[in-house]
Amino acid sequence: MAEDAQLLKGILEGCALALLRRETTYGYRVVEMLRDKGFAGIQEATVYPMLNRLDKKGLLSHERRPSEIGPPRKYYSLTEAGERALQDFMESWFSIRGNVDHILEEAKI
Amino acid sequence: MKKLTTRSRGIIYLTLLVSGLVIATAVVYGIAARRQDGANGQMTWVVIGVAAAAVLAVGLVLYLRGRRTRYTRRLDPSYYDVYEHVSDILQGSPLGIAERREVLYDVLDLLWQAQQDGRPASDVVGEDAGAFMERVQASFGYRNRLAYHILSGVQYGVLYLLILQVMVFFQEAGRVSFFAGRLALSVVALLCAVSFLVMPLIRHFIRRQNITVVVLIPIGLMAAFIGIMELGRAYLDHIPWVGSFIDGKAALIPSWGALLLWIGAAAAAQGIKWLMRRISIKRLV
Repeated sequence: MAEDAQLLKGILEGCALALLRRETTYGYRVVEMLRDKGFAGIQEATVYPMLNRLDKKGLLSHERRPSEIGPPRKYYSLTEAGERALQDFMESWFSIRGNVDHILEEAKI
Repeated sequence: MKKLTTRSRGIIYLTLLVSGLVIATAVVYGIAARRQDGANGQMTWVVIGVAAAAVLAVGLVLYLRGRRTRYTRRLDPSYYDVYEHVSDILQGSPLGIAERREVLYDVLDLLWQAQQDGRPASDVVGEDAGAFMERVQASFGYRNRLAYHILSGVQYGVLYLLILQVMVFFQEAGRVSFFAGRLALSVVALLCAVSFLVMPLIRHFIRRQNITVVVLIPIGLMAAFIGIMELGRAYLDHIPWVGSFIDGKAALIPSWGALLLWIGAAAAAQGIKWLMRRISIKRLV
């Protein structure tokens, strides 16, 4: 179970980086986008510490912008280091996915 | 009182209880001292001062627990309850002031959004707000490690030591040098217990949302301290080291050099904590 959680954590981080490469946006929107893309059960309780961690690691940067409804909102965007981390993630992911697909295809026959 | 959350109401009732106990103790002490030493106007003023401080403390707690900002005012009770819990945990967290404000703003924004979308407040922090805040702290590079507690204990210890030394100085009304002040060994032991044991325990129970225990810990420590001292004095005073512990005094800040050493220790603790955080951030996975 711990390995599953670690794997999902890495995947979520990669997905968040990919989403933030497309647009600069705020945490709640990242949660919504992840849900729209199939991570139905994902909560802010998971995503907020993750975005904060990526921010502190220098993979994301943030700026506060005024919000119409609440306090100033934190908008995240991808940094150069984040871009490199995303590239690394994509390479690893496509390689792992290819290997797993290959094994599962063989198992079907 | 109606707009207050259950937690706030509990804290206010406990504050009223503790303040009542403090006032009652001061009055009883004042009366006993008057009977023993005859009329003493100074003692009356001390009792009035203690009682006024206790009443002011209740007023301050009432104000702080009832205060709402323009943003928090718009939160429904269940969302505000979560916000307040996060805010309480942050009070005892190792995060700096700017980081605490950052987290509060972020959580408030998330709660506000969840409320707008009709989603439960528990989505924002999960089922366990304490565990959520552990993850948030870890994302800032703080981990709930023993070394942090020890280093924080050193800092609290130095702070309390300086406060006590200043109190001793004022007790002597400045008649003797600040550096001539000596602290009872038993008080030094109490200071260590507060710095290294009570403060981490209080932080732990704040995270666990157990406010009753948070209030009971210092009261329990005081009761235990008085009990140990009285028992020691009554039955164990003949044992040399117990006698030294009860009656002994030590000059912990005998010179400018010692003062600088203590301040340096607190600053060094801060430096080590900062370094540990930088290393933690680099190792974040």
